[in-house]
Amino acid sequence: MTDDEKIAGLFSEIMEIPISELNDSISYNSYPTWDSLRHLQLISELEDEFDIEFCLEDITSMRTYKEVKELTRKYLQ
Amino acid sequence: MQTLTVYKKDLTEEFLNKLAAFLNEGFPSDTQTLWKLRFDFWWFSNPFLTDTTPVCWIIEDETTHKLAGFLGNLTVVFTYGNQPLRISDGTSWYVSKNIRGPETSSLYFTFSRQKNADIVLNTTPSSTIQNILPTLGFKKIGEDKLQNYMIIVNVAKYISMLATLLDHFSESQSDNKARIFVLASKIGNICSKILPKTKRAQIPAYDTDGRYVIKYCENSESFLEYFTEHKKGNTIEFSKDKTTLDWILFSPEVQALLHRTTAQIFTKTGEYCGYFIYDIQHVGKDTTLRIRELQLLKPEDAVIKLILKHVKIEANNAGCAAVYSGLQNPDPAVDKLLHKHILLSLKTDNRYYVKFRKNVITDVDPYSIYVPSDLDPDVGFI
Repeated sequence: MTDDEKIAGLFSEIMEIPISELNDSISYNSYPTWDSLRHLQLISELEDEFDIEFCLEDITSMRTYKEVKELTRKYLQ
Repeated sequence: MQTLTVYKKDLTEEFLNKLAAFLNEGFPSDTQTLWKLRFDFWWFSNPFLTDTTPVCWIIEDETTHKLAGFLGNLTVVFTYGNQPLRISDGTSWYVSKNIRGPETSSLYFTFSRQKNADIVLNTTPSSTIQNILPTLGFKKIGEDKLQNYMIIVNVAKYISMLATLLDHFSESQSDNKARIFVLASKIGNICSKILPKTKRAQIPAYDTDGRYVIKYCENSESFLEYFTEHKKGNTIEFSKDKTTLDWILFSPEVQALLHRTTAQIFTKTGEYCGYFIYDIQHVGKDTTLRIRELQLLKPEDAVIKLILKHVKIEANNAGCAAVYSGLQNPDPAVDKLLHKHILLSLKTDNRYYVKFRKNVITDVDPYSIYVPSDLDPDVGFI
């Protein structure tokens, strides 16, 4: 499984959005299931999965699915 | 534009006024005056704060400096054997509804990742947060449900207080809300058995048989003279050292906030039998008397009856709506006696979670951690 697939799997499971419906434009404000607590859970699960620790600036910058992927990849390089 | 700021000990009057006003918006039943009393107790009288200990984290608007989020940090000391452990307890996490989002997470991550604490402690009644905390590295400790026994002292005030609690829980705690409704219906059935007291009564010194006597404990020295450790195996407990006791039980700040009373029980011949501690705490415009600790060397019916009589009269004299027991991990024998003598009880779901800093303790079972006192995240009881 690629890193992108792992991110997609986690995001889909936590936000309750089917993987087939994931797209880069999904944003914090556009999806009711993406609330502050699920954001907390998403960050935590990504950190666990990839053994990384996001800095606070990146945590607050993740406002779209595209940014979630990009910022996570940054830590995997 | 919101920024996250960590405040240390240089808390200014201006900032505290602003913070009290902000938290009063978030928790309307708690007045600004009450919040300031909490700040005094949490921070200004706390002997364990150092210059590097954060007292809180806030989110504020970079341009207007208006507050938008808060998470308080209570530093307390527990012991593991003879090893003191610095505990960081999060309190009163609140973010303005209009900015809730990733910033909310940043507050929480700053708290849970801090390096100053040996253990980060979290208490929450919210099932959503309870599900998330294990994924953040927290382990649940203690029982799932906390049994609160209660004695209604003034029916009208009690009903008024329930309305306040419903309002307080309306945002996130649907389970507790439902329980309060169930409780309200129970009250209707037993109201006929309750006689509201209106006259100030004399507190009895002795039980009816004259075998036991209650004495107020005025300072840490007299508490420690009799206090006996009740540790079971590898437990982590709230420290009962003199510095902690001077602050937690006897400081002017805890008296101003909670009117905390420590009382000891002796036999008529002077043999020590145990102690109990209670607070008069605010719930909106009403107050309740809350028994926060109760330890008896030999739990007996006569002692429990004397204690209950004592607290009922104290509660009545102080104009309280009710007496609550909010005991964590009570001795089963004490619990059985409380159950026998108190009609009403309510199970609350305030669960405790801990996260150890790496390598601080490696051999402790989280289930052996004993938190005898009630640490409430919403109102920062210690």
